[in-house]
Amino acid sequence: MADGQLPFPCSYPSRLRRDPFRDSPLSSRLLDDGFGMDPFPDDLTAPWPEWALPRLSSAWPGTLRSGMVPRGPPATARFGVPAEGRSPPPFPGEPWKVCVNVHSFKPEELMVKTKDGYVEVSGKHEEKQQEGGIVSKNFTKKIQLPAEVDPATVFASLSPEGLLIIEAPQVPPYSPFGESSFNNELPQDNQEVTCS
Amino acid sequence: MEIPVPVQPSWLRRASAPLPGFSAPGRLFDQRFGEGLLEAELASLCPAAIAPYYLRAPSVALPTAQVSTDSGYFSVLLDVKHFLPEEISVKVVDDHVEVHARHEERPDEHGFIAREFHRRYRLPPGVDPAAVTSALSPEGVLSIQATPASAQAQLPSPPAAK
Repeated sequence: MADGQLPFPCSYPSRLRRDPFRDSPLSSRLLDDGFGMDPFPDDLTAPWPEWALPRLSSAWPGTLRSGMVPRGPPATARFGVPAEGRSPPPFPGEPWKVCVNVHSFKPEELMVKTKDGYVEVSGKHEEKQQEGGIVSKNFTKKIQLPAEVDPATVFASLSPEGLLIIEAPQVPPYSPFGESSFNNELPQDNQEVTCS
Repeated sequence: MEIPVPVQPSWLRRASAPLPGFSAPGRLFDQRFGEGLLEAELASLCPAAIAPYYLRAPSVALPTAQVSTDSGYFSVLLDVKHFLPEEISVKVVDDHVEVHARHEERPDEHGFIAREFHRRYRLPPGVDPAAVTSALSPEGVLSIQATPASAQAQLPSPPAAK
């Protein structure tokens, strides 16, 4: 796969510009409040009536200023292991999140990195099957990072069902265009996990 | 600037609310290309359009079987909806069927993606390699079939349903 320059200008995809909340300071505030549901990147690409109506029609948990909206019950049964208690993220808003199905790829066959405003997910899978069959598949997926996300804060987790969850905290609203300070922390080793 | 992102088990992170993607699995399962189709997945497609392939591929009714090797028949269904017909190649080498598909980077809902897969199947005994045929449905289902060599002399008849 060529890692050269993108064939499109960075302004792509143009449909993002149709969101009226995209470029206004209110956008960060709306996303930070969360309205009791997770912001999903796909919502931002839909026309604004489709984006706003589900949120306005749902039960409003609090006022616009309450950033600590109570969350729903944690989905512990989904992963089969009780979720480890973790301190809340440093920002009150919900993290930016994208889910990629990487079913049939082992953790050691996946690589995730951030580069030029994108999250690059690469997968290379090979396996021998009985009766002389051979399967090999690979993909490279680039996910565009929003402007409010610091590339150094992106992290990825792999669920037993083969779902790769890529998250990153969003810049707090008081500094929507804050300068990103890249930390020099060394990346930790991938922990061994077997996806059944 | 390149920043590596480590991949770790998801249960080490904070548990989040139910993922909205689960309500729309079609949007997220875009890495399941090149895999065999089960009956449930086949039924989710337009049944009328693929009825001919379904009728000629009874092995798809077996939830665990992707390749039917019973009584010398060979039948495979693959999900290749992400690839154009010119990006897919099917060939027979000795007693194996090889499928290769690859498409360069193209835009998708999140950014860009490039995919490629290889699959190789061994033909069951008694199957004539020259009798292997493949067909591509408009929904992106690749069907590869072959009949026993002894059946070539007879009139073609649909395989008996299990």
